[in-house]
Amino acid sequence: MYSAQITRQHKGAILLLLDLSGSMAERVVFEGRSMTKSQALAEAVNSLIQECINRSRRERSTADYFDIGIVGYAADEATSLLKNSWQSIVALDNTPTPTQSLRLRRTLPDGRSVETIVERRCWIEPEAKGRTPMGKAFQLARRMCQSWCCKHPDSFPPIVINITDGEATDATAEEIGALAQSLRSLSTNDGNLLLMNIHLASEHDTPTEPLRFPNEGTPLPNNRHAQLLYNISSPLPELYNAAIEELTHTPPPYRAICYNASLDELVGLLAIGSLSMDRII
Amino acid sequence: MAKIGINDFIDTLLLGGDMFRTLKGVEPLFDPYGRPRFVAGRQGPIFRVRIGNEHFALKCYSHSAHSLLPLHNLLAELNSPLIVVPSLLIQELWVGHSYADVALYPWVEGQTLDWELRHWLRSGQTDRLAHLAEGFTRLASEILAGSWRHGDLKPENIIVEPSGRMRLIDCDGLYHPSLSWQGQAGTPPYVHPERRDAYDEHIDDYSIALIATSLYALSIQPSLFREELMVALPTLGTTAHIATLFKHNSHLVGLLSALNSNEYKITDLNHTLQCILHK
Repeated sequence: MYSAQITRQHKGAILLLLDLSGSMAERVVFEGRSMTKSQALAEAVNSLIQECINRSRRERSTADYFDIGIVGYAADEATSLLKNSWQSIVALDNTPTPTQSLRLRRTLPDGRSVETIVERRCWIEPEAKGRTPMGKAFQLARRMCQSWCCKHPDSFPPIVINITDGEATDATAEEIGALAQSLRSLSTNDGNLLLMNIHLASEHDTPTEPLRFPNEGTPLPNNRHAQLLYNISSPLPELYNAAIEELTHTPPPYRAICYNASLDELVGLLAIGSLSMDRII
Repeated sequence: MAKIGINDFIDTLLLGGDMFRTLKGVEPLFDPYGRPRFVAGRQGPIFRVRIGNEHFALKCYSHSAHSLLPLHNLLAELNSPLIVVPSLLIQELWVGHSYADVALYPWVEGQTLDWELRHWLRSGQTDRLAHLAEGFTRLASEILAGSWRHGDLKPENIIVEPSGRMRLIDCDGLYHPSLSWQGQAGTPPYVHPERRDAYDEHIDDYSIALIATSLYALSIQPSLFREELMVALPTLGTTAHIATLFKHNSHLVGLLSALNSNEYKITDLNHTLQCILHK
């Protein structure tokens, strides 16, 4: 299980569920710059898409190794933020996108710090409004992943990464548990869908130690929401062990949850969450 | 050391040459869209760069490559004309907050065997496929006559020069009796399921047989081409059909049946290749 290589015939799939509720308008400092949480989230997600395109880069073209889905949930609905629910990495690369100039501070080898401007493509724009219909997002994710698994029965199973800073407002904890269980029950011949939850810290939360990819012995925060996210997150297969052990210095097996994560570590957490990219051949 | 992303390498190269510890004047080359020219490899991206008037391929390792030093020293010592020999530079490229390891390859004019195969199939000039099949068989025979094996033989790791001569790149999985295994077991589907962590003079046998039979089959019937042909050859019903294509060459039939063996070693492989070449 979880051993399928990702090839042009056996593509991989990554689906991101993004909480775009009103609380994402909170201002934070991300990579040394002041912005809203939703802007930071959009930057991290755009960066992940670019990395996925880069990893699929072959001579003179981008090879069709991945399908990407992005679902935003806010107000009362969950909707795809891309033109189609699933878009191939080739289509994303060929899509005309606006670019954003980012001012980044870099430390040079001699210790000097310089400001550089880099151009980044933007597939999604930041948004923040209303409530947190996470239940609807899980329902949409299930429909999308069910059809994907039917079309790609021998592929590495889809990886669903849910990024949120709050609790669902359209479903109870039990309902979220059942929806997540239903989502995780989807499978290809290579294993069950993997659901990862990244909970972003908020300055309004009670201070809680961050929790990254806990194993069975890791104490969970004394917090109902953390417990729920732990329960609905997938146990991670062996392929993740080395990268997580390097990050947490704890032994496997790990659970696919990061609780109270800072935005600055989001890019790194997404890189681990999307490790199926390492299975491209 | 955390894995370095390709985005980070691109940002670094765009900053200019000051980011290298010893190399001076490294300039990335750009595609028509203004992006650095690169391909993604399993260990990291490989950029096309220029230093002065000379072109190079710069392989940037996402993880430490320190354990590859003995292997790269051996490559320099062997200095085989079949191998494009790189210089491994440890802690060379400043990325973010630390140095990454790189390997600098002299630029070789030509295309990979993978690119050539797709190009000739797409352009309908399928008569070129027989040349590729022969060229590969000759290369494989020369490899088997030597003391080393490539370890990750696949069409993407073979450069076809304009003259038709083939040379090997990316030898980080090389076998040599003086080396110990570096934990790199080749790339599926070019690896026999039973090879696992074997590290001996037979590690290229299966990939040689698979690539050779695929190329000869395609040279006879180009319509067989599908992305999964090389995966399918040993296991699916295509084998019986391809055997009929090879009916005038018993050595190719023998090579094809060797793919179905439970053993990753193929007996008398070089002799079989010689017979195919001289048929």
